[in-house]
Amino acid sequence: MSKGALLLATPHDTIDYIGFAKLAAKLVEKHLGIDTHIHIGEARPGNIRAFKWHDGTIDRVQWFNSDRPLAYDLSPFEETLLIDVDYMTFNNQLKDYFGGNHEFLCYDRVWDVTHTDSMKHERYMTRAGHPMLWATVVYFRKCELAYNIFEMMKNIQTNWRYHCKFWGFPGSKYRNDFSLTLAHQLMQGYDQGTTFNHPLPSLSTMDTIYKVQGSELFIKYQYHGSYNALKIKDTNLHIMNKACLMDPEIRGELERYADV
Amino acid sequence: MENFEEFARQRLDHNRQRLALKEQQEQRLTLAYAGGMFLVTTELMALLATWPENDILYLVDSYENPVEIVDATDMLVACRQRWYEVMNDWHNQYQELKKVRRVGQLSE
Repeated sequence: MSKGALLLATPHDTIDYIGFAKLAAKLVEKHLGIDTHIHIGEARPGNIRAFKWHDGTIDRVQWFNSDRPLAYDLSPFEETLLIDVDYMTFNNQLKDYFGGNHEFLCYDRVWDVTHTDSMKHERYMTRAGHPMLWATVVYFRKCELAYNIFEMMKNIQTNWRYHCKFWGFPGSKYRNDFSLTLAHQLMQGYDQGTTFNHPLPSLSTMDTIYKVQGSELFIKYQYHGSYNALKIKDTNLHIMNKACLMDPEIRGELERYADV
Repeated sequence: MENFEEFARQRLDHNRQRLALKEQQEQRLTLAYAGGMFLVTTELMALLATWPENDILYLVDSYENPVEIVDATDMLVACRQRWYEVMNDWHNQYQELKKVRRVGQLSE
């Protein structure tokens, strides 16, 4: 049975999503030993997103995130690991999920690696307080359940305003995490369904990587007005701070590590 | 430049570093075996060690599915190997971190 990772990237004026995708794909191949497929989508304007970076600057940029509900149709694999292009793989932990009985898996918890709880507002969504799921990393096999979840995501995307009002969540911009949460709930019969058995390691947009040494990442974080640092090693990481991935020194070290 | 120097002189927050190390190592204490996904714990290893040889064992995995374990000894070997790898690495990193006082020393 074919297995591989699917990455969806879009050309962008200021953020090098395609470069991130190539790096993330190399890291997947290095650690998971599976094929990768990068789909370059069309840049369809509409969604705007504001990023507040670690240096206090705020960037308002176009946010091209409309392709994710198409992942089932786009994947050439029987078993697919759908990952965000800013999710960097540093160990083989996700390899264990291939070949099992799982049909669809995603993350239901996030681990802020700095332990400053910077994503505490992202635990629940909707008026009813649905536990929020993350579309950052999704495992699915070609099966009825996965097909239905992605079809439901398309429906939610098409009727975004309706779902925002019906479920009660802020709907100024389409967000795949929200769409996945609802689709997953509905297709599992209002149940939680299956998730990865560990939280999603994440770095917020306000924290940054200041040094890379092999698989060791040195992170600078802010807490109550002062800066501190910590080190993580051999740990997969969702790097929301795209600005630090654009830093030539950090990017260069990550590329070198991925190539070894 | 002053900011970098100030940052390097900052006293390392050991508690956050310790928690980060704990979380990253605990995530590795998972074992895929016989089609199931198991958290490697001292309790699991104790059960496997005392299970009579050649007796089939049924275990509930992390996804609450019953999994047939034909050879408990073989699973014990796999669990011990994973436990040793993770705990050894955890201990080594912890010992290194205990010596670090300032942020600047972290990446030395």
